[in-house]
Amino acid sequence: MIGYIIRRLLWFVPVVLVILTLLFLLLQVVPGDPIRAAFGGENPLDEQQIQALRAQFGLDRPFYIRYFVWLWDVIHLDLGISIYSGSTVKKQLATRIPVTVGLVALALFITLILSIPFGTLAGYYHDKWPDWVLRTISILFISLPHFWLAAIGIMLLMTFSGWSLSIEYVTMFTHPLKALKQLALPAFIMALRPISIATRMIRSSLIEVLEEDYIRTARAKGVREESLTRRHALPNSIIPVVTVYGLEGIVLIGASVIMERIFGIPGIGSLVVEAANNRDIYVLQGSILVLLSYALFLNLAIDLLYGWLDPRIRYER
Amino acid sequence: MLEVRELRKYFPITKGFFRRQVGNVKAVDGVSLVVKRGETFGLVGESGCGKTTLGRCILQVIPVTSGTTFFEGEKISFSNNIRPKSLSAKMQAIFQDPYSSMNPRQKVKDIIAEPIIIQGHRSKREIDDRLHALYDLVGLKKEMGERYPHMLSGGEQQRVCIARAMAVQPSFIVCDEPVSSLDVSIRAQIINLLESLQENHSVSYLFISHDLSVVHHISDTVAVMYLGKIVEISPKRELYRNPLHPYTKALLSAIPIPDPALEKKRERILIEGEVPSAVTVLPGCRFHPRCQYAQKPCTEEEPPLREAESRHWVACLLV
Amino acid sequence: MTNLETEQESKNRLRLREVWAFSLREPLGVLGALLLLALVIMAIGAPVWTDKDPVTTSISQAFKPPLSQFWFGTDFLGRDIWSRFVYGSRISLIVAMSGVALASVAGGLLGIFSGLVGGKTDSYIQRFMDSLLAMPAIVLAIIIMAVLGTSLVNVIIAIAIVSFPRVNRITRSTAVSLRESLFIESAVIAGASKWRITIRHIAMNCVAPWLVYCSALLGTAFIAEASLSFLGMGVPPPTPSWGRDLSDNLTRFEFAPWPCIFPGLGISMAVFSANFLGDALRNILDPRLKRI
Repeated sequence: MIGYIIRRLLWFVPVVLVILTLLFLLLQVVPGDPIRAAFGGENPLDEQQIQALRAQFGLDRPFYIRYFVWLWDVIHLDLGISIYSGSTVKKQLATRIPVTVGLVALALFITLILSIPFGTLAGYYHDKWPDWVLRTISILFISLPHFWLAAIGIMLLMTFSGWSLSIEYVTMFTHPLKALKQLALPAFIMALRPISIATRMIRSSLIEVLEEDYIRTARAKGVREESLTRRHALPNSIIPVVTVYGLEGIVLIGASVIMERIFGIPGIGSLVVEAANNRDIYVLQGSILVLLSYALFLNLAIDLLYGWLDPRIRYER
Repeated sequence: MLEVRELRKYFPITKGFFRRQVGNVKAVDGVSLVVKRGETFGLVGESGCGKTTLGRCILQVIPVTSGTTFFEGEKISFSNNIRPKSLSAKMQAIFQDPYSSMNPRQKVKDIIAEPIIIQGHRSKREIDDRLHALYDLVGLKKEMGERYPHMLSGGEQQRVCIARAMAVQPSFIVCDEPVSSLDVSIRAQIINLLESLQENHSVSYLFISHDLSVVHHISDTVAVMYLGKIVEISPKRELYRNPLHPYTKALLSAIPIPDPALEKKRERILIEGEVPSAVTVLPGCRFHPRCQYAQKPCTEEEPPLREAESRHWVACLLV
Repeated sequence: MTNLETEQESKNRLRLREVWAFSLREPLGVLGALLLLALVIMAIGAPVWTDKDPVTTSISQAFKPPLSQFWFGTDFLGRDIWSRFVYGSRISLIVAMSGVALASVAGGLLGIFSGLVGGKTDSYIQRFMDSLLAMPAIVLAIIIMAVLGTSLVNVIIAIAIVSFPRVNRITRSTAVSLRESLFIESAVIAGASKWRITIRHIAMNCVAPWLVYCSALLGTAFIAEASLSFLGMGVPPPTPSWGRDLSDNLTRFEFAPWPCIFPGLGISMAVFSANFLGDALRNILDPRLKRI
């Protein structure tokens, strides 16, 4: 097991390096000078000022030096200064990270508690009415774009209950209950698609497992149907679904970007969009790095979880 | 026609983080045999003794660790890139699971015709004619050609594989447990088919199996394999009548005799213990931990394969 | 034996019967295919379906309700929503289909190559793919759009780049599992060249999962284009795009809900059809292998 963990961790290093390099390349190659883009509009600065600013941001040094300096900075979590707003990137990120973490975590949590029972129901009663109902609903929510659902959701709520979009968001850590209320709707809408996908996966996985010979044997031995599902079928059918949860977790991170825009939530996702639109490359880099670390962390967690759950994986190769 | 000398095939085992090689699985450890033209060479042994690996080495689909193979007078060896067309034309194979050995998305007629097409230089007309001849040869109806493998029964699938193997008129076919997965009634049909093909087209077979009665029926020479080595070779009658190696004796005693009275009377030799590891090879005779006759020299010296009686080789110190 | 019909005719009848059987067995799939077809027809024949210009603004006409002079009503700039719906379908279809086509061909070929060649090359390629896959798709798409700038072609490129590692993963894993199978070994024994094995045996068996995945991918691509446009990073204005129309009108739906509803419906229809088709394809192609 330890060997497996070490191997997975080591696998991450080149992946992270590649991503960081790609990020650097992409963003430094952004067409148009970021300084000019930021300040060129209203009060165009003269050449001298622009050059001075460039020097300040270190943009005038050669390419490869910038690369290593940047890597160095990143490792030390010195993420630079926002060209747009002047405050440090770190400060901006710090205020926003807890919000997004809360949102995504809540969405994942909702996914877990709803998809497992739904999936089990659908699988257990497959081809009977609960199954048909759940399957139709699943396809519905997989297909409908979540921002549209959010729009409809907000619309309905506003017309029928006079609820309005919050102006200021609190984080989970400061005011848990209020944060929960605020984030509940976006998290729930975000969760709809992963719930549907996970439900379908659990369903088909459960159906497959229930056909397996060892279930038939247990049944023949006289194990009760309910206990059979709970202790034999379910644990074995969960394993392939774990990867799905991981993948959907990553998708959720992406979905949070959109949800934050719609609901005006000041999280990392909305920061990414703002920075991309403003060509504020340091903020953009910083916020993308944060999102990436969530994703990588999820990847790693899923791999390790999978290795722990399915003993076959650990001993492979 | 086919000669194998001192063939060894080791599979490396890696352990630890850096995948260091810590040992070898000695699947085949020094096997030599000769198959004559038009004869069937039976190879028996329990699961894991290396007979399938030996078959694959002979077919040159995996590289050998050491040893040489001569086929029709020429040395052949494994190559990742080119397989000489002459080799494919002369040496073919059929396997235990016919379905897995066929492309599930190819029609039967394409499966059978493929070796012919690969050899090249045949018109569509010629190929069609040859296909019809092959259908007759193995007892398949013409309409089966349009079907896909999953639409056929096990016996029919194996017939297709046999047709495919015979398509290029090979002189040697490796048969790796060709009937083990078939119903007993079908088995007889397939065995008879193989025999008639051999008679009419003088094909040689390397017949690998763990089923002693089938091997007895179809083979001319039989070799018994244990843990990567051949422990006894002899012409069929001689082997079954007078087994010399303790392992062979035990195996043969396990074959049921149809006569209940005789069955009750004869001696049953039970082999104790489990198959030892092919990785850590103990000194001395491979079989000694399970042998009922084992003596001290058996634990020290590895017995060579020597001709104990006329054309009857055994690897045992006590014979 | 007398044949009452030629071999060609009987083959045609067989194919027709297969299509009919498919329709009966997978009604949802047929529905999906028809919906997709309807969208394509709508997109191609856009000028036929509407005579109003989707782009001209006219504030005085803003927020007119549907079923009036304007079939779907007007949006906040007075633009006819029906026209924007029809022309918007063009964008969605072009972007999604081109992006998926690019990704599926590139990813498929690379997957087969990588899976078969194995060894270090495969390792390196896969590490690179893993890096691309580690990021959430939307984030990667945003980065690409930020770098390349917003335009129709760039959206197609972004979607293609985001999708292609996923296609690659599917075909590679199929290729790898096929590589070790017995029928490949049989083909080697029969003397098949590497080319022959790759094309006739491996690729042939990779097509089914690839096709199924790519049709589902189409659904995701529709959403991806809509999402990017929603965030303002998709197709630039004034080109009608369902996603951007949604976002433009979102803040204003206290005035009128319908400018949001219709584009959303369009997107949903497109995604539905792609998913149904994909599901149907999967049901048809997969069990064939297991049917005895």
